[in-house]
Amino acid sequence: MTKEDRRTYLKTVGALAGGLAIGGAIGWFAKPTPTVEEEEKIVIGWAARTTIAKYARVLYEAAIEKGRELDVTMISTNATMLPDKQAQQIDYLLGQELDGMVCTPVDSKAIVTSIDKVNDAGLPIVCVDVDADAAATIDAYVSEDQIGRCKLIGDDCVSFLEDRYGSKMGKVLELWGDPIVGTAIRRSEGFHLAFDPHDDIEVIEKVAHWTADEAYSVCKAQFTAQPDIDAIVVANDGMVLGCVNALSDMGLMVPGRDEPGHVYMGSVDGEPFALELLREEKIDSDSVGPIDFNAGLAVQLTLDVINGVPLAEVGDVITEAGALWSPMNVKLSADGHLFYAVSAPLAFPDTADDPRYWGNAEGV
Amino acid sequence: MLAGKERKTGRVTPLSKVKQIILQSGNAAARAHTKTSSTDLPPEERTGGVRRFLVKNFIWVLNLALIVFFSISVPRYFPKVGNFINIVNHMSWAGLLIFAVGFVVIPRKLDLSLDSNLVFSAYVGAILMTSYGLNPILGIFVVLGVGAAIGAFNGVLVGKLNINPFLQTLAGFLIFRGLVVAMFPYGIYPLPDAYCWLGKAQIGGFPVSIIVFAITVFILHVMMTYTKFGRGLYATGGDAEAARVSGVNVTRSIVYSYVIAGFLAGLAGLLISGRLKSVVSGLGQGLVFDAVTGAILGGVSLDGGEGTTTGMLGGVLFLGILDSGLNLANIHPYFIQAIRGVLIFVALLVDQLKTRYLAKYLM
Repeated sequence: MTKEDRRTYLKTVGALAGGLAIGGAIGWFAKPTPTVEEEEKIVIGWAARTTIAKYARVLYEAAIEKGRELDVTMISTNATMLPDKQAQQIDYLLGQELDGMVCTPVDSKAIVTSIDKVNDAGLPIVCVDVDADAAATIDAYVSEDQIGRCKLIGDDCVSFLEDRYGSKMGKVLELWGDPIVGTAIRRSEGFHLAFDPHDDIEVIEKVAHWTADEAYSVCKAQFTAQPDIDAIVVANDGMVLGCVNALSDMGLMVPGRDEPGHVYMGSVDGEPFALELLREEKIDSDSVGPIDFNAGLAVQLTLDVINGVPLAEVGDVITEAGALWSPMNVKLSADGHLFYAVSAPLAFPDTADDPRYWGNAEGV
Repeated sequence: MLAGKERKTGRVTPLSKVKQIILQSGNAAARAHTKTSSTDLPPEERTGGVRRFLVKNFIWVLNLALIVFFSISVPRYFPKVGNFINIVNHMSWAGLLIFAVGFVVIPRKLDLSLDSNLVFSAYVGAILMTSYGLNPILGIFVVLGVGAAIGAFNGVLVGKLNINPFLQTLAGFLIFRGLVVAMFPYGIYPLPDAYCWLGKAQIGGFPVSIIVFAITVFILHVMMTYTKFGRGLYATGGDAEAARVSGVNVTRSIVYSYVIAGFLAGLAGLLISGRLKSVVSGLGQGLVFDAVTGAILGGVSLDGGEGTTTGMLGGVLFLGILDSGLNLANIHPYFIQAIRGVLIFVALLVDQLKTRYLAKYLM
């Protein structure tokens, strides 16, 4: 190593050490003394998997709102659907003197070690929307009953087929979200609970990865090959949009459940555009989850654990007259966690304007 | 007679040109890797030492500025020892990919398949360990071996068959991520503790993955700076034809650079899957773009022949500091990606201005 090299390395190391020292010193001196109020205020981290979809945004905004209502400071991150990024962000959240955490995992398995860290820090953690793997210890999981809500759609579709043919028969196209995602698996399970008991109902299963463009292509291809398909059930609203456009482009869109040639469509989520499609009678049913309620409940449960308030027990049924989420069954999730299974009613063309639906809320 | 003369001239002239290129060109690769003391430099290059230092180590100046900025704006959480450990720990796997990019870009190639390689190699190891009872220590070697093999696959096709590196590695990117999605639809958890040790364990509160990263960077530094292979890579990137004529085995340099990059991707896969104790299909998705950004910020030129390990290390830390600061600053999650993009853009812009300044006033 030449003298010049050595000098460069020494300068580089010196610059780094100097930077750290200056940064540290400034940080130390600039550190404001927290007021008693700030010290006492509870801080809850919100580790979001994404904020891209409208659904995810409503979830996030409802959590922030609930935090405000409960006088809790909410600190949030956005993992942009990357499991490794979420692990990193949870480390950063843990560095911020949290009292508890709410998480929407990107992946139920990849989140386990991060949840272990939260447990090691002695903090409560509640998952919302996506459950963590059975290996993780969490205080609670809040979500719609995915199986139950899709069974409702399936049942409605079966009744449509019965009205059309006089018996429970026909051909149904089912579009999966993503076969590796637990939510998609459970939604499909719900559809099949309704269809499988009827031998004369043929279900064609295809994957469209939650996206409108892929659903458009799949739907077009299927209807070209088999124009006698009677109904479509899909695992999210993005895909139903693709299907509506595909049928319109093929000249097969006949709005109105009772119209001859109408293709039944049932979907999940309650996005504002899906409610609009309901009003236009282009689709027949949409399962509307009270996601704003779910987010708020997750924050509330985290706060309850922090304050030592006992949570509900398996077998409890929580009800509230007129509430969209009611009844809420407390049970064990497929991964063995305390699961607040929130109701998600079906919206129909004549109920699409219900002001309780998050898609009809002001500003959405 | 005439033809013979032409042949003779034809042989001699390019060689002399090559020597001229190597000995006299302003090629930064040659400059950076020709060991000279300050007294060997011409008088005009001995002036402006501080300016030269600041400009040449610009990424470190940027890092310093970021540290100061975040220390002021997030005084409560940013300037903490634990946070700096977190930064390096989180950047250990992304950092390995930055070095991997550097290794293929210096000889003027590209590898877009690195993050797919990362997840694929980790999956192969995980499957063999969890479904076929492979010893976890052997599992580690399998992951590293698969990574290197994918690198060799790309390297041979790019180096020997002259397939366009962008298209070849784009195909690799799709093939390996696609195979993961198709063959391993479910995540694998838990991975054996012995396998996870390098990515997850801590010694006295200090993550082992940082030690692995530091040792790897040291080896890469020695390789790049003090070996014939390293000099061959710079020469290949600077002018492949000149390098070939002057005795560098260009094809071998390219193939080896891809093998090393693939190995580093495998190592990154090992650390990240160990950290998460699991492998899922979305692992490391999009990391290659961060890696290219980090390498460029660290002074690696996409035109080849330029870049140092200390610079790349600076690029690694820049992205780590940025991520940490933005997360701790509690930036609104809707805007964090855009703000990160803007800051990287500004850094690249300033870096470009620096290069022009360097060319105009200091070279």
